[in-house]
Amino acid sequence: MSDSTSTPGGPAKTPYREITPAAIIFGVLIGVVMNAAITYSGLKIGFTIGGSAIAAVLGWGVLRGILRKGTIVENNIAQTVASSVNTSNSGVIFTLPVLFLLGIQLDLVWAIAATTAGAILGVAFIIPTRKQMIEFERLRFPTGTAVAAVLRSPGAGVQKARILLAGIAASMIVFFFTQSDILGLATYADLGVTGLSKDTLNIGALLSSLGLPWPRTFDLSIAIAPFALGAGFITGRPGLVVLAGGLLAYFIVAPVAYELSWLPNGTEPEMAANVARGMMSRPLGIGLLMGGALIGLLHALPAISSAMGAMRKPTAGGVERDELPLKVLGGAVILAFLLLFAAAKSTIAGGSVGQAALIAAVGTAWMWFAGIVIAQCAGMTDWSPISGMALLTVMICLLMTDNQVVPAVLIGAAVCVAITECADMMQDLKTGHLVGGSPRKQQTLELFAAILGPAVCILVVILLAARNTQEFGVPFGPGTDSPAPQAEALKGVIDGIRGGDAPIPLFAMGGVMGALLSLSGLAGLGVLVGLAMYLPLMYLLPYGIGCLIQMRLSKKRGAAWTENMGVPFAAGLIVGEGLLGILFAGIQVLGG
Amino acid sequence: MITMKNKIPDLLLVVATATAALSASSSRRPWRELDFNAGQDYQEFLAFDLSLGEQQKASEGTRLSAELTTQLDALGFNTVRVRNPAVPVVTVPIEEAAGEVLAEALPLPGQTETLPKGRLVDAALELRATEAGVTLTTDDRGKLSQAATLPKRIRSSAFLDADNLAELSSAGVTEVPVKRAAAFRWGDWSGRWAFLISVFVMTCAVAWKRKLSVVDTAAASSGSSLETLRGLLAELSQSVSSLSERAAGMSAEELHAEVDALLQGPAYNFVEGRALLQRAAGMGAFALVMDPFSRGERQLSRAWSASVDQHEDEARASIAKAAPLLREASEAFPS
Repeated sequence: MSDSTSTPGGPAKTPYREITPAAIIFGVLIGVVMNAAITYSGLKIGFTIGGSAIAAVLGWGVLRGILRKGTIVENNIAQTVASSVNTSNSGVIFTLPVLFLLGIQLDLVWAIAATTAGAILGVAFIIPTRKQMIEFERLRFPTGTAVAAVLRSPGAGVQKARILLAGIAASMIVFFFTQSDILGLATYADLGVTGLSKDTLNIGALLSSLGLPWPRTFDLSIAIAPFALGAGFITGRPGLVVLAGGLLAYFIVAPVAYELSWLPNGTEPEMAANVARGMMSRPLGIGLLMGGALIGLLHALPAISSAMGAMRKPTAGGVERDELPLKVLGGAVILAFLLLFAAAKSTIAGGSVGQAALIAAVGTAWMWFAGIVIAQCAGMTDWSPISGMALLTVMICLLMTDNQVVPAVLIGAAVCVAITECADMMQDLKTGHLVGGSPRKQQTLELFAAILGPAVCILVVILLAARNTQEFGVPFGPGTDSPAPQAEALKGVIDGIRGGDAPIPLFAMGGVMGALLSLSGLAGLGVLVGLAMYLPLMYLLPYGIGCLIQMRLSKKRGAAWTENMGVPFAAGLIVGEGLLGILFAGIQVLGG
Repeated sequence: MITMKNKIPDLLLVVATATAALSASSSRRPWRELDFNAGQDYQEFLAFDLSLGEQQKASEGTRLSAELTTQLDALGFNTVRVRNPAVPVVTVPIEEAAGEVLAEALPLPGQTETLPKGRLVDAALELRATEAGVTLTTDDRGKLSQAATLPKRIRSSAFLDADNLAELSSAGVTEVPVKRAAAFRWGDWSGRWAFLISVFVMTCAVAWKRKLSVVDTAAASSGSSLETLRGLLAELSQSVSSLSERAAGMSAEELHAEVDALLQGPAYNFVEGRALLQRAAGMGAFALVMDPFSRGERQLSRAWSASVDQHEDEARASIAKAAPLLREASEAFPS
């Protein structure tokens, strides 16, 4: 499976290692372990960790350190496979456990079929947009850039390697005390500083405790998240829009909503920001995202069409294609559509063939659009609003199935897995572009590796549900040590939609605003503002600070210096938090 | 002066976006304004406490009766804020409850459920046990130290499907409290004009920004910026072609040093300035340049990686592949 290379003067002496059995086996193994560990911890704490950076670091240790063979592009293949196997967990744990919470039996076969279909479609759909997002728009994909910095570290010079390691060390030290209670050690909360919890600093509370005036409705909390700081730094100036959108949601909409009594009676001023976010800013943000992305998609259609045209053309002169051929992608889409159709047909009570076909078709089309939205978000900021997309998908499916939860959640899970794969695929392809990997080889492996992920993740969910039922009497949620917070939130949304309380007008209004912003000539403005209104400000603040530091350094030291010195440190911040996150997830698994 | 003028559409866009977000958010408020007629009786309920004089007040939730509307009219009111929805919870006969959502948890008379030893006890469970008169015993980790039996119930917010309704019917339940959501009505939304005006201002600001952008692009295209970009690409193309010819006799370290300088020099600078090309030449011409450029750049990156891995053959092959691609990009650059 190794590549053969040729030089102008004749055949190569040895092949340059890229796709190798060692890289694939390592990638699959590490991907499965990470997937299981992150699924477990995600059901406990409500969020997941990306696997690319961890796989890249471990890849150096195993492929280059132990096997003494790994090349940069081979390690890129290993991290591509590993992250592809791992990444589906957020799509699964944000959706499927809601069936347990609603007391509905999960059908293992159809759950795996639907999510596997999602994984295949996610990879297949996003491939034609690679050229537009990575080569033309040059979206930053901060995690992809960080992973490339890790992979390139042996050749980047001693100084850059030291900076990268310093970033990793700084990130691990800072992040350690946000999770150290897992080891029974003190956290930041034990410092006894007013407003400082184990992972967040409430600046408003701190200022108030110092006797400085601070409005109670202004929630100014900042997460201790080196990852967000690093992602902001790598994004630079465009990321400032994200900060502005967050300020709009938290410092304009929330206080005004409180003062004008737009929030439910009895809402405390300190809770105004959270309540307003749930009721207003989040649905509006999702609408902005969709409207902004739709305009972005229309702008990108010529490039996507050109890429698809190139995929149809035969290769000439032994030049390798950039992407997988269109017929392979077409075959994958048809296969996945059939799986979705079968899952829908089998789970809709009294559903006709036509209804199942319609749901599968809408689900497939929605995956394509939502996948592009998510990939754009990940490219511009590193964040993927997966739970927001899950909410919208389930809402659409509930409307189409006359409020039947099982098919709605199954299709929702398929879409969520698809969009996580989209984002991961693009992050990996960004890394590949920066290290000179072959996109086609990455795409081929991602397509196969992605199929493994949902099965691993669903198996962990089912085993955990069985254990919890035996021990606590219920599979997930209150009363167990796996509260599944994201699924609990989705349950609330499903209850709301079935009770006729879906914020559809806000989605529509946000859509109009997002479309207009994206027409302004500033690429992705609607998507960025929407994402900012959707995300909690406590993560946007370190991200915004990262953007400001990058801008300041660029002005003072020049863009090249910032790229060469600052980006490796920022990459280290992303990698360090990821490494420690997976370590703590592993400790939680072992500790039960 | 010109800079200030250029900032006006930005400022308009920011202000209009904020007002549009605010007016859109107002559509979710849990009350609406009602213009009432004195002496008329309404099935509406006050959303807030209302002062009716020094000693008198109408509390939140008070129905807008004929007496109250008369009293309010006498005090000079003609509009009042009422709950939206008027009644968030209604009780319906079980035969009419299909497809509704339960407003509160509902006990099933005569039925119990057993919670196993080891279950975590949270505040909600404690409350439920207290209401049922059951004492829960817990260990030091907050888990049940022995199994507990509580009255069985259907959870709050449960969807009343055929299974739930059958269970309720068999338990003898005849009517159930269900939720009522506020329906969005365009005419009731007082923020609609503010939203429409904000959207109109946003549209004007966007049109203005795009017009200014065209002027900027024309100015930049006629100047030296586009020439600089063309020069960078030509320099890169020539350097890579030259390197490809010399590569046979070079070591991995030498190849690495040269490729690194090209990637960080002309290639990086060209990428940084690419937006100008897109604005000046349009997406079609931009794609004709960027497609071969990006492929060539990727081959250079591959050469960089291969040289780090001490694989000179691959590095040379990749440089050889990059050269024609970059030449193609340079030739495609619009004149």
